[in-house]
Amino acid sequence: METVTDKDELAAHPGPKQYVLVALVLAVATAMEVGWYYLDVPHGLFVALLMFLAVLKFSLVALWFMHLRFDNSIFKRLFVTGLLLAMAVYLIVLTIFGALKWPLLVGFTAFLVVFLPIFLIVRARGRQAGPG
Amino acid sequence: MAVHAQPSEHSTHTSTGLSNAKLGMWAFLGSECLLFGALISTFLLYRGKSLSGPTPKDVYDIPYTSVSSFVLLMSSLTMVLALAAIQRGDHPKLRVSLMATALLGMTFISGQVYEFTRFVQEGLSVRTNLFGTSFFVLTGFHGAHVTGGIIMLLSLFGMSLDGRLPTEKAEAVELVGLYWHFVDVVWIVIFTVVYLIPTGK
Repeated sequence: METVTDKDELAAHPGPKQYVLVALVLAVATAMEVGWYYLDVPHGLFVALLMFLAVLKFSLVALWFMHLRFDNSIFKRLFVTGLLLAMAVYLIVLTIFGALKWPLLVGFTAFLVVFLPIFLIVRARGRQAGPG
Repeated sequence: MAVHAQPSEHSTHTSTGLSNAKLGMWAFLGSECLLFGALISTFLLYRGKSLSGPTPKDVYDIPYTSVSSFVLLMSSLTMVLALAAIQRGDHPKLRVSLMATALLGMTFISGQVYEFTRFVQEGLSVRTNLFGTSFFVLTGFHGAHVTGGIIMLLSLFGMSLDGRLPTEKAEAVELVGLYWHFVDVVWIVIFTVVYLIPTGK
């Protein structure tokens, strides 16, 4: 069985300055979302851009504020399993019932295409850094 | 560079070496993804299928909701600052951050109550049409979660005032923080999928 040490669990968290920086990025991303809302862009592009910003904000909060980037990977696995399961199940349901019109489908696909590489990159970096 | 906060003093006398409470919280949050996924999917399934108005375009006030979203987003910052404060043993800052988070949460909920009231006045209730049903159930569930979070935050604030929240119990703040941030990330998705996309040009 894999031995999980306190080092994994007690990994150093960032400090207030980093948190404020992350919050600034979140605020700018929200402002961009609202700004795009008033711009005259094709709906498919609009949806993809919004999905990208939502993924960015979601990831920043989960990785930095919820410390998934720094804590033991077991927590990340628990959460990501639920998240991916939900996304997969409901994407299938929505597709079967024809609720996903093509701009939304493009947006959701972009969501998955962007989210998964970010997750994999962060995971790979975490492994390179090693525990603690 | 970072202030390397002293991590919470978790009980590690478990088979995994990790706090069972924290594991349980993450498992709970994973399951919550399925709950909110179901509610958001229901909203999307019923999208555009209402036989009568009002529709999202008739009732939404995007600038107003954007401010609410910003308020909730910033409450995540104060929450994580509360955790950093207790891990440093800085209890006055912990109390300020906890109260700030609770107040921001209350501002968000007040905004939601105002929004719901305005929608009802404009003729959209939970029984008006499919949009009303799915919208009120989804955002109502989210609002109930935020309200639960506010109660937990105020409880932590009270415990801290009583001196019952020493640095060794930082995990309690961390767990409430995880819940609070989850409620925030759910709103990030709701704001995009329920508010911005259906009414975008």
